[in-house]
Amino acid sequence: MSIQDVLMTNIISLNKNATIGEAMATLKQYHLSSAPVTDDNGVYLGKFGIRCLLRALLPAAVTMEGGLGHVDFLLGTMPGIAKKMKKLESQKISEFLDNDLAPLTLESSLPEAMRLMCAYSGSLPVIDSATKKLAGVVSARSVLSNLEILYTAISLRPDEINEDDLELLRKHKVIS
Amino acid sequence: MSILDPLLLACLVMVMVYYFVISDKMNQAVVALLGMVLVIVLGVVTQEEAIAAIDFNTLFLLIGMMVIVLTMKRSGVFQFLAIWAARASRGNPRVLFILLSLITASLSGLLDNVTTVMLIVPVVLLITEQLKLKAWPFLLAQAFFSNVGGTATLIGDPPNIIIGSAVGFSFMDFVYNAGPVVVMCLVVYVALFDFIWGRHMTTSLRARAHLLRYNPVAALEDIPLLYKSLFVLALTIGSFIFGHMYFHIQTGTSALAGAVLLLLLDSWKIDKEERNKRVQKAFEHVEWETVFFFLGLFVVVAALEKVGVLNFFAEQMVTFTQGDFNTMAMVILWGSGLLSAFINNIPFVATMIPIIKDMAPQFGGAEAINPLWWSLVLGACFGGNGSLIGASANVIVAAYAGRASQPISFMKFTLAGFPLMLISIVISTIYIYWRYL
Repeated sequence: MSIQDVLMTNIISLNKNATIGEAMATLKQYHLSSAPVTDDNGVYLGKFGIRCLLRALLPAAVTMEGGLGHVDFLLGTMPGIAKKMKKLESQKISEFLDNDLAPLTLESSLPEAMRLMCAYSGSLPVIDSATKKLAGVVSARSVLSNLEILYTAISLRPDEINEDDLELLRKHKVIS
Repeated sequence: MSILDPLLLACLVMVMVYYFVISDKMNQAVVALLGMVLVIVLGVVTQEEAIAAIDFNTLFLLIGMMVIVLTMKRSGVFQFLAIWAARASRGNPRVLFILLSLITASLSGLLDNVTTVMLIVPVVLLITEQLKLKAWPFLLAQAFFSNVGGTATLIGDPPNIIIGSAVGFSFMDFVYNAGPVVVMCLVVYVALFDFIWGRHMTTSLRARAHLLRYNPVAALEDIPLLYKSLFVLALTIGSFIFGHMYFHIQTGTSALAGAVLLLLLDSWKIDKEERNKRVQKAFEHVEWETVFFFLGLFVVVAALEKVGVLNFFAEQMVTFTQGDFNTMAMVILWGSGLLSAFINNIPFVATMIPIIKDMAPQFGGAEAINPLWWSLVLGACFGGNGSLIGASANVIVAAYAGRASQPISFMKFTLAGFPLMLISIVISTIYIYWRYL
């Protein structure tokens, strides 16, 4: 079982020239919280989603590295933030991409994909490492349903050890 | 002269250390440690001599103060102070500008400059964004005032820590000798900053109203911790003053004792896992890079001292000034000011200490050369304002400015900083003449 088995290729992606307003409309239409962003050639650039917008709305002093850890004292600032949101709608999403997470490649292992899913929410983008183009996304759901199929397959497997495994054991001189 | 001559080897190692620290091609702590390893392996100093050369009092003081400040940070007191300033100024940018600068200057006297600006700058960025003001005059002021404020005390600035420890100056020695000139500089700086930037600052009444809604008390995250850390900080400073006077306890021990007490109070009677986590975090956040940089430098400088290079420099400087004490004080003040503007003042000060010590016999003993030490302190600390790379606090402020998309370039900093540095050195010149010469 590899990344290819769980890869979803028919996906919604955003173009880097889209505005925040357009991108938010697309995400809302498809009930997504984030989507991968590509340039005109399909090269993956990062993710854009609701969290990117939230981040852009807060003052830089809060979201930057080494910024304020806790802002309970920020009272009465919501009208300003609402205005900022309207202003941001016409800006290009390319300024606000989330690049915290390096994308998976077609060669990545599935346990690695699962490990990242534990730490980050949403589906994970997968790129072709040679062309850097977006190949698709993997989601926790697609991994889990493939595991169901895998379990059915192995539960039907005969008790005897198969030829591939025997070959490997012989190669490492476990058996002769 | 053979290539393996200790004199040559020690000089080569020091040149290497200076080269890499100035060019910033290698991490400074790694360079200093490499220098230390080289002088030991090449046999310039023995390991015993190297260990004896490390000024553990300085390292203890650094580590102790870092632990205290980093634990104190969790209480939110630094955010509180800045937001309190916003309220006290009633959102008036001109008043706020001066108030924030003076808060930074005072905190820098009690804490390390870098830590101070790291804690205050994010809040300053927040406040300027709320008032829709350009952040850079505020940020420049933060860097300049932290360097000036730090000059006033033994613990305010790393050069002071090293000099104080090597010469045996007490906390109060610094307050008496560097304090007056720092106050003079602050007055002049406030007047200049207000004249150049402050009086032109305007904001809308609506923005001021928004800022006044910020609740300073909500910025305090852990009030019991605040009391504990203020108590420990007061105790530690008290021990710097009185411990030294009456019990001959050195500052390093006082600082470590303060750190231990605060860790003890902070982790008292809480479950084991959380307790250990808090203590581990406090130690983790100590800037080990700085500690190891100092450690390596002490050994490299000791090697130079052992082979007689520094003594040679001392003699050359005395010859150059024709044995005139007043000229020597001015050469040290201006030389260290101009050099510290563009090179890291820590290796410079570490090298100058043995050189100045070697001058004592020529000028009538250790007591008589005290004005030279104050010249070095004022030159090295004020020199930090001369350019963006003059002090680590400047670099930190510029980094934060960049993250908030309000970049401060080298030129922008230097155009304001170099004249300010000259002004503070002129003030120091007058002060040193008037007070000591």
